[in-house]
Amino acid sequence: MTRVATTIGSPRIVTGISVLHPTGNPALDPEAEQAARRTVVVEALKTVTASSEESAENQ
Amino acid sequence: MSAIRVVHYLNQFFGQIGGEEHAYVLPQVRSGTVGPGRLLQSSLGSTGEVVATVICGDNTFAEHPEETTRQIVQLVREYSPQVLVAGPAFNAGRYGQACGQVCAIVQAELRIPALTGMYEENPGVALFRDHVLIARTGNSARFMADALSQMAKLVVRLATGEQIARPADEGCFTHGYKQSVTREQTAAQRGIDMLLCKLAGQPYQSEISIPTFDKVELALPPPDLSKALVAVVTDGGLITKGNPEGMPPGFTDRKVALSITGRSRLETATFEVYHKGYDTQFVNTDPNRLVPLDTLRQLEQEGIIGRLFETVYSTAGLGMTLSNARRLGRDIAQQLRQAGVEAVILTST
Repeated sequence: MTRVATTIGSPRIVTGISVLHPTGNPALDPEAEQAARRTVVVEALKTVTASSEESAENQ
Repeated sequence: MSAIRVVHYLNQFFGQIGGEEHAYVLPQVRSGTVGPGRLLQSSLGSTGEVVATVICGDNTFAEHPEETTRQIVQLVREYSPQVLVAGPAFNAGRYGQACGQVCAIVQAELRIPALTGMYEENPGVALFRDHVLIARTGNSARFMADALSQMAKLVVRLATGEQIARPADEGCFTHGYKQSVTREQTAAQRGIDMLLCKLAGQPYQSEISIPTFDKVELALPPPDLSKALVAVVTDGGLITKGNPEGMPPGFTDRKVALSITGRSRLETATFEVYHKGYDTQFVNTDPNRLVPLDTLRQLEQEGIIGRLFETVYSTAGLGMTLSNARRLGRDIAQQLRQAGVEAVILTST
């Protein structure tokens, strides 16, 4: 689904873990899943706070 | 043929009563033309006669639509017109809605054709285009002469009983109906012809219009995330358990505002996911797999983010039309902005 977002021109996109669970992973044990969730969320926060130049590069 | 009898509907401003301070004037009628009605009359020439002008305040209409419409229809009826012309309203929202409504009711109750004119962003277009003929106009009264000249031509055709089959060809907004048309060539042949034209740099006409996406200016990031109010929004269909708000699982124009006040995670006792575009079993087992509230609360406690906004806006994105998506997006953005939110995470499935 990230391709859809890119095509439309969304500027700040982070690929989630899966369409079915963007911030989770049922295949992992609870601890590992929490870590995976944190990784995605931190990535998202980094992306949303990136400067305009950095965002434009990633587009 | 004797001159077509036309009644013209105008608001308080174009009806020359006054500006905003007169937006509460009650429905009233003058015989003959008023204001831009004169231009309408001269565009019609001898083919038509504007026998009366009905004027009503935009606020009167907005606040009492049924009662006001009834009164207006009565006033129109007394002049036995063959066609009703409303506006044009250009980009004026209340006026556009009044014009659309007047046209809709007049054509239903008096069984005469009605026509109005609006700019494409006028909310009246979206509300009335499917059952009212609306001419496309420019965005302000600067375009009055063009609009009325175009509308006058349509008035003449409508008066003969003509149904405008293809509004887009006549400079009007489409009604949104699909009509089957038989073509001599197969789609494959037509497609190849288009491709050959395109490759040769020759003009060609696509049979499908490709939607264009707005270019949205990049929002500035918050200067300091550790002090920022951060919100989370989702299109994955998160709802209150039991769906008391009656959120549809897709094909919707609505959203819900879910409170996360005092919650450190999304519990299945209180939340569930309703979305028909993907298998929701995993997020229903743990909604934090869709909206990561637990992690965000930790980050809030650790001071990585300043504060988490207490409302999660949620919709089901399945089959959402572009126009609904734009409207919902703007609506949510406005609410978040008013609350002082500086950054948003949208989780999407």
